[in-house]
Amino acid sequence: MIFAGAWACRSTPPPGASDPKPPADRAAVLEPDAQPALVAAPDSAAVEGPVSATTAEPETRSGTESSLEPGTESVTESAAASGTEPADATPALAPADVTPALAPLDAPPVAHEDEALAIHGYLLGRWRLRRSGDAHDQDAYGVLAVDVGDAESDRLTAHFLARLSVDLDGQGDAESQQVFGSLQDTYGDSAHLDLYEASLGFDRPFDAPVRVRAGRQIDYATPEFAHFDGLRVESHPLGDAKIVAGAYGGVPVRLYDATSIGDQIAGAWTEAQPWKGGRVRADWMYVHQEAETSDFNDDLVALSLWQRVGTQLLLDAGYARLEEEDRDVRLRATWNEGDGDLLVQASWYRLLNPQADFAYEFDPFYATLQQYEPFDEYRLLVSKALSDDLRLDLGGNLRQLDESEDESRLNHGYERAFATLILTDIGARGLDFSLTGDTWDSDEQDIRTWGADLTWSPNTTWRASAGSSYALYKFDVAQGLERDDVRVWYMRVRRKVGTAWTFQIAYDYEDDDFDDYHQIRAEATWRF
Amino acid sequence: MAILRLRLDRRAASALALGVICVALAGCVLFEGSGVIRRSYTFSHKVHAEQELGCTDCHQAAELADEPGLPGVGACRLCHADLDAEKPPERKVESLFEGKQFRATARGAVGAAIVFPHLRHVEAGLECSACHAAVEGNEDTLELPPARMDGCMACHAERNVANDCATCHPTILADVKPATHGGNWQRVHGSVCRAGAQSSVDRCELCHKETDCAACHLTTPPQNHTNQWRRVGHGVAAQLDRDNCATCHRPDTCSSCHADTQPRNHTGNFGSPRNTHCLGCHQPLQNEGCSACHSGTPSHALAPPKPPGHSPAMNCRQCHVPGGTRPSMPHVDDGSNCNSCHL
Repeated sequence: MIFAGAWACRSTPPPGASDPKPPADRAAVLEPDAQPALVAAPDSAAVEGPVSATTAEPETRSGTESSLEPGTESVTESAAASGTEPADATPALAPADVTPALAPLDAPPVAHEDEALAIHGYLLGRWRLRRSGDAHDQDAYGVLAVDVGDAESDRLTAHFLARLSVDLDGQGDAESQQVFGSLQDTYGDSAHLDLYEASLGFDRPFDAPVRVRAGRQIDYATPEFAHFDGLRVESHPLGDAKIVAGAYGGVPVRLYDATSIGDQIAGAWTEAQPWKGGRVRADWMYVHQEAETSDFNDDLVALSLWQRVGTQLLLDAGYARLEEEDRDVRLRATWNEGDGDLLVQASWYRLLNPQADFAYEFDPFYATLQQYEPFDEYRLLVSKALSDDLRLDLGGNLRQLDESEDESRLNHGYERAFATLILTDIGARGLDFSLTGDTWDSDEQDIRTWGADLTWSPNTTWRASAGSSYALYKFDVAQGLERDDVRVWYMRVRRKVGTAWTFQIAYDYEDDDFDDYHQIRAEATWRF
Repeated sequence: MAILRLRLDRRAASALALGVICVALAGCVLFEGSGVIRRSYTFSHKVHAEQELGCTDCHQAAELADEPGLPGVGACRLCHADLDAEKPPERKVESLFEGKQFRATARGAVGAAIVFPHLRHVEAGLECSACHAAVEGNEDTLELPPARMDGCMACHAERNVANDCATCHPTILADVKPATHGGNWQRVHGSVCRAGAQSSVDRCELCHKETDCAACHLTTPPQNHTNQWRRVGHGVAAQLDRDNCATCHRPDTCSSCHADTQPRNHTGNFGSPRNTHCLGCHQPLQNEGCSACHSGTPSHALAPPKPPGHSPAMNCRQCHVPGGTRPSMPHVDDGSNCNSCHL
């Protein structure tokens, strides 16, 4: 996901079209939880979670054994949030002075250099208690996010995002460790800090028409996410075709890897908008990784094309070549009609050659999941507002391996289908209901899920929700099929106080084939 | 009949189902666009423009007030009293009104949450067509394209007029997502963002800050990441679609845990040595064998160090085998690198 304006220049307004608003009023920043959540991706191929992230899903992020251990509240709140909030809702981040800043049509541009840098962000604190039988775990988390300045208008910008995880009751006994052990425990310390971003950006250093960013940063626009400590330089758009070129280099960040010593990442890219509605981009990425068994020096080149046709149709295509072999190709069409009234996306992706044993950035899971065999994947997504208070989402994937004999315990073709029905304002304003079903079928593994959610948000300060989800996993454990059922019940209440504070408390009960779990979570967020 | 005996395999059936959905959707779009579904009334700007009526002949306040207003039935009757004399009631001009309210007002109007001083734009010398493009050829008011922010911002930028949010949006409801963000938006937002900011709806930075990306992609787990997911489910899902994991997870996520925590199926009787045990899955780590993951287990930590005079370069198996010149190994030789445990 590119936050183009935040870093880049695609949407850089022309000279003079600057913002006359005082910094304090530049607060139209959505809260982390004001946006439907997760599983977003550089491209939609990776967007869907095994359970569609919709309203029907509980926010049971307990015990995630991943780098995604709790951070900010995932949103996925009710579909009501999709533009169905009461019209008279209190503006959460409205400027204190709501008088529109109407400049005369012939008003001169307002210089920005004299303005103080806007600082926005949030500080989140979360406490979580989990219990299952005699096993227990108690953790605390703190997340600090800070964005300084606006890349569109300020010469200096900074970004910071970090999370502190504290295991309050230590590793506990063996049983607790077995039940609640997680990725965080692999560090061996009770407290651990993950630094995701810490960078400084400079626009036009020494009056050169470039932007420079130094520090720990993530580039979502590169063919594979580039998370690195280093330097990035990007030119200002040049000419009518808005030609931009950039380069970056540094040490890749791997938060859970023992060491990145000796590893390097570098790349260069250029893009342009040579015709109306069109954008082309070419990338080169290089990763050097020193592994225990061998070193990797992998190069990837990629070409991408986007074409907007009218205001509703977006076409995009991409091709990548890794280590002098074709890697993959994709085609995609997205139709967005009536500002969300109808959304349709159809895509085709093909992995052209087996992927094995490349640097981590290019083949993340080879060590665990082994070789990735060539396949075709077809995908269709449809979202249609059937009326003001009824929306239906449908979708399906079909992945076909080139050779059926490539199907293995770690590499499957599959069919997937999901559907979500969302009803808003049922009986009372702000009372919403959603129902979601999702199924993945492959020869050896199946996942079936469904869930329902009832959310009541009478205004923007209070929200309460409850629901349940069920998942059935059928898989082959070495020999024979196994079935795992998991049922989650949840309830949560959120209260906003003013424009800065949000408090939330949640309780989850989970019952699966091994154990049942109780989880209580309380958190407070301060936004600035 | 042969066709009744036709049986599709599961994948073919899925492909067929997808195709049917595509065709059905295309049919819906074509049907709706064909105009088969018609409203009971229409208003044609084109007909009136051909009579050389000016905009202000009907929209009389357009150049006088910030609210341009719509024609009242009285203004229409000036001409239509005679024109409609012989028409049935449903075709008289009055059919366009509900009371005094013109029925077709929706598409072109900006919402109440948007400040739009019409008079100021007129005074700036803008032609009507600058905003109401091709209105003179419009044959149905409901087919008039709604005002789009892209057009406003482009025009403001062209004229060096303030283009910040508050120029038109006096309040910004941070709790209210744009209409585009409903439904499957989560699944498609990545590709839309990547398309670049050529449309205002794609300009994430209008509302979001850069750390918001990482806040979702790195610090917030999906809701399906339950305890069961942590213990079992994630493995099943990763084996189905590893691309999904790569959305948020970095390469080292798997190995960080699995170096210390073996999969749940790694029980004492898991597979047979030399078959599925270890090397069945850990083929790329064959040179390291089990020690790649299990060197940190307690029993391995108790392994005695190599005796004095022994170096890692020596071939342990040359001597420490049954019948060899030195004591044989006190444990099963599974082919691992001895140096992994006997430091």
